[in-house]
Amino acid sequence: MKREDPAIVKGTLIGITTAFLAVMLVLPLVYVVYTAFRSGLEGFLAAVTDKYALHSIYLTVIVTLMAVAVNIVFGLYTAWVLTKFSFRGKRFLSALIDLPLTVSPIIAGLIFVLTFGRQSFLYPYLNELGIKVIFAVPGIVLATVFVTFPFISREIVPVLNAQGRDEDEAAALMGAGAFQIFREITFPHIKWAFLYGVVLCSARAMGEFGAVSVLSGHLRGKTNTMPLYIEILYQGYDFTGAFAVSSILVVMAILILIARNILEHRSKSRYLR
Amino acid sequence: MTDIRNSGAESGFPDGTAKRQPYVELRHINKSFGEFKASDDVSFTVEKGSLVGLLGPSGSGKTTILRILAGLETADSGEIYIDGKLVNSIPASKRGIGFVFQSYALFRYMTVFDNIAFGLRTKKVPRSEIVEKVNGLIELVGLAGLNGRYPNQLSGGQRQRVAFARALATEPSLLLLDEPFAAIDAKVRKELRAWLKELIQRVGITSIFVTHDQSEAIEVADQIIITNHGHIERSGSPIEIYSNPESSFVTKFIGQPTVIENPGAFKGFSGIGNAGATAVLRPEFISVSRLSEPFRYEITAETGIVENSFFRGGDFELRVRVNDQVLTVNRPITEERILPGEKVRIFIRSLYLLDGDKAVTVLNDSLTGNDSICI
Repeated sequence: MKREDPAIVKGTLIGITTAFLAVMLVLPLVYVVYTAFRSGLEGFLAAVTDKYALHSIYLTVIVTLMAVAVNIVFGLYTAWVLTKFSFRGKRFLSALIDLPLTVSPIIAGLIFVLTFGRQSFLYPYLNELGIKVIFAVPGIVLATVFVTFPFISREIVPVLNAQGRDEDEAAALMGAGAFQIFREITFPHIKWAFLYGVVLCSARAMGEFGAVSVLSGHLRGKTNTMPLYIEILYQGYDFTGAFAVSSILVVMAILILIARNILEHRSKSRYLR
Repeated sequence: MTDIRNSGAESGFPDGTAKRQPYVELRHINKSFGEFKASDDVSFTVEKGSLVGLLGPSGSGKTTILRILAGLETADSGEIYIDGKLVNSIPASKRGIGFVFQSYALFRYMTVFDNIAFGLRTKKVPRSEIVEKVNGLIELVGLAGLNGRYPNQLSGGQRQRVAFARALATEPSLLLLDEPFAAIDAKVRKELRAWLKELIQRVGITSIFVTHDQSEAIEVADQIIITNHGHIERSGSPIEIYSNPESSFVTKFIGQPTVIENPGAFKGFSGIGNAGATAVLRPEFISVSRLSEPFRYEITAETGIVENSFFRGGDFELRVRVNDQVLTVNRPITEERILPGEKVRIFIRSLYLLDGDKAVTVLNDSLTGNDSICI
């Protein structure tokens, strides 16, 4: 059994951890809310119901939903391909998926500027079709998809690997088609990991600043997501506004954190059953 | 020994009755995974209603044969016939095969009932029929009352029964089992072997199972097919294979073999002139007695020194050094115990002389005379 540590050691360790978290996380969060309400409730409400503020909230929600939708499809698909088949270059491909986690978001933004901007060979064709990518919503979605791409597939791949192919083969031998196998055998298995991936992906999509900043062009009421809008307000010394909008983003993040913990708990109890 | 012979005699197909139409036939199957040749010109036939054991060391290609037969792998060349029909291009699900995976591959998010019902649902069998059929199968495999359990709430033996019931649900004409007992602890394994054999005979389904455990193959199968390095070494009833292994590989694989060098040096085998020859001995070919005990073949007996003695339950396994080689001999527990260090008399009745790929039985000289008594 576990050896009991002296109470003083235990107390000190817990104390250090708590103090660290308090200074690094709790204090700033409290300060965000405090500053948001410094000019009273009216100031807060005025700041968040501002036309541009509402639009930035709306745009953030839309971009997050679109990025998550795209990543659900590609995340599931990639995880499936990487676990169900063995092929040449598989290792390379699975390493490539992690690229967005290691590349700085600014660079991710610049990649898209170079690919779709004026100097790109694609630009004339896109222009002809009337598609604006750079300094427009499609660019923001693209950047967000790029940055959040790994989250869903990374959660699913280990679970699928652990499951192996036997159950699929057994089902196929009994005449089940690919869709039935996915729906009845694969999906129940990856469900919690998948939802967990969706949560992480959403959280990151909402808060993405760097890549989006490069691509958006900072057009108020058009291409400003919440993090960008907060930055603008802050640079304009509108601290109440900046922190008011921030506090909404913080609340959204906390809601997602709660969802994450519930999912984690459910998936654990699922395994124990 | 005796129970092996009995089980062979009860269920085996005596020689000369093999005139029936083969139910499964593989012709010249080849399969490579990259550089590795998993199947090398594999051909064999299986009769309808028989229970066949594919036996071989790990990596000898037995599972590959099973998977090719099921349609889970595609052969590089060769033909597969089931019930007289060429099935090479028929997809796995249409071959009428039930498959029991080594890991059982039970659907872990489905109950016992849903696992067994899966194949029937896929085939769009009416609900009422499914319920009746599945309950019948659960009854058959002795899992009544466990319908609502999930696989991880079952013991290894129970999981195997579910896998078996699931494989039988769609009434396949051929049942394939990949190492069906490998994941079960030793005690339950014995019970399950007998149970499975009995059940397969009751259902009357042609079955092929893969195993690396010779006692399992000998106990359960009507016919054993031995694989080695991707090709078929030998095929026959358990008793045929055990008593007449024919090939050098099978001789060294089956039974409890001891390989010895220069067998001509042993008394009674001076006919084997070649000093570089090798031979295989089994404990049942050798009798051991104390020097004080009376012995019939005094002239052709060797003397040796007991190096080790292991208690094996029903008998003692002795390691005896004779002519600078160590032989393994069994002595029943009912006889007087021989301790390490004691000098003993050893008599070798026969041995398998290895000659290239072949193995030939050579009897002790003193048994080939007029007064010889057969074993």
